[in-house]
Amino acid sequence: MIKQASDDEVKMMDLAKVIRSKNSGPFELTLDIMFDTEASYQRVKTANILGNDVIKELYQLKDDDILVNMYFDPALAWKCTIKRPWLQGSIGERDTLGTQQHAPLLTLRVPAVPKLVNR
Amino acid sequence: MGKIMECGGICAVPKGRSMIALMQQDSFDLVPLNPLERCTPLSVAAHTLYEKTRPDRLPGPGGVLDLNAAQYEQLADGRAVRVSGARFIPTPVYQIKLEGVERLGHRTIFIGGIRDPILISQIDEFLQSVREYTRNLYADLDKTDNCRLIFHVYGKNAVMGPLESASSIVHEIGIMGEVVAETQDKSHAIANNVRTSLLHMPYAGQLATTGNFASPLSPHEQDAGEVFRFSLYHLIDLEEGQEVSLFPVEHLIVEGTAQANSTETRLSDKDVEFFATTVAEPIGKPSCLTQGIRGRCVREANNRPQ
Repeated sequence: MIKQASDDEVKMMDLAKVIRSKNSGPFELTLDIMFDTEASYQRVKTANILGNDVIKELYQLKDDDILVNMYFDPALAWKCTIKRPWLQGSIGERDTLGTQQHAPLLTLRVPAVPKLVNR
Repeated sequence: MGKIMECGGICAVPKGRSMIALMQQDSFDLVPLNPLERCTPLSVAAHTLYEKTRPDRLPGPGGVLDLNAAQYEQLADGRAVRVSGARFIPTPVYQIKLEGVERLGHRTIFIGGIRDPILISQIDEFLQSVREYTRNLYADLDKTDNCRLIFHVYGKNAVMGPLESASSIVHEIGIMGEVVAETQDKSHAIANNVRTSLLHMPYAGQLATTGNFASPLSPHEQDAGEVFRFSLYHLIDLEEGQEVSLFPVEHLIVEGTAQANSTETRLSDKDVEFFATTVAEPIGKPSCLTQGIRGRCVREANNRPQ
C-alpha cells in the first residue's frame, strides 16, 4: 500500500516505506531508507536531513566511522554504511545479522513541504 | 543477476520466495514464480541496496559491477522486469578474497532477569563488582580475548551498545552473561562463579536477601560451543590464468526420459481454482483489490509500529 503522509512536519517512519539495517560484510553495518513515491523521496532528499552530521549525532560516531552516505535515485533510496562498531559473530556480539540497529532513524523529523508562493 | 537471484523472490511485490531469471545477451528478465507476485522496476532496483556497502558499485572476483547506467524496464505482462546496462569493469590484476577465522576458545552462557528496582538502579556498579571479584579468583580473566566475561544487559542498550543514545528507566532487565576460556571446563567454571556472584552478592540498600537473579533454566549455565573471530579478510592478486585453474568449471547436460505429470499437484482443489482464476492487480492504488494482496495490506496495517 502506498505510504501517504501529510505535508506538515512528519516522522521518517510516517513517510518511508522501508527503514532497515543489515550487515554488509563482516566489518560494516548498512542503513537503508526507501520510499515508494518519487515525491516522498525528493521531499527527503531536498530537505537534506540525512547528512553525516546528523548520522554522527544519532549514532554517536566519528567522521571516519561513516564509509558511505548517498542517495540512489533508481531505487528512491538513501543508504549509509558505517564501520561495524563491534566484531561480527564473535564474543560480545549484540546482533549477529545487524538487523536491529535502525531505530534512531524512525523518529527523524522530516520538515513540512515548503509552500509555493505565487509571484 | 547473481546478486538478485541468490535472494530469490525478495525483490518481488509482495516479497516472495522464488524467482525465475532469463539470461539474454545484454540483459536479463526477472519474473516471480507465484502468479500473485510481480517485479517492478522499483522493487528490482531497490534490491541493489540489500546487504551492500553501496548500491551502484558491487566489487567481486576479478572486478567491479558498475550499476550507474543500469536500466529497469517493466515488460508487457506487468510482472516481469528487464535489467540491462550493468557494466563489469575488470581490475588490472584478477583478485579474489580470502576469509579465515581463528578460534578464541570455548563459550559458556547464562541468562536471567532482575526485577528489583533498587538493584536495577545501580546495575552497572553491581556488575563491575561481580567482575572484580571474579578477576581476583581467575587472574587471566579480561587480560586477553581468550579469557573474557561479557554482560549483555537487555533493557539497557544490549542491542545497540555504543550506537545507542536513548535511555529510559525500566522496571525489569534481562542479563545474558558469556564467558570465553580455553577449555569448556574453564569457561563453565568461570560462568558458574559469575552467575553465583550475580545471585548472591550484596549491594547498597538491599532488601531482597534471598537472591538477585531470576534464572529461567536449570542447570543455570549452558554450553555455547566453540567461538571464533575473523582473522583473515584479504584481497589476493592471482597469477594469470589462476582464476580458471583454481576454480575449474564443468558443464553437464542432464536429460531424463520420463514425462512430467501435469495433473499431479500438492495444491488443494481450492488452491488450484484460486490460482487459475485470480488476476493480480497493480498495487499502486490506495485500496488493494485482490484477495491475496488485500490480506497482506490488512496484516501490514495491523502491524504498523505505534
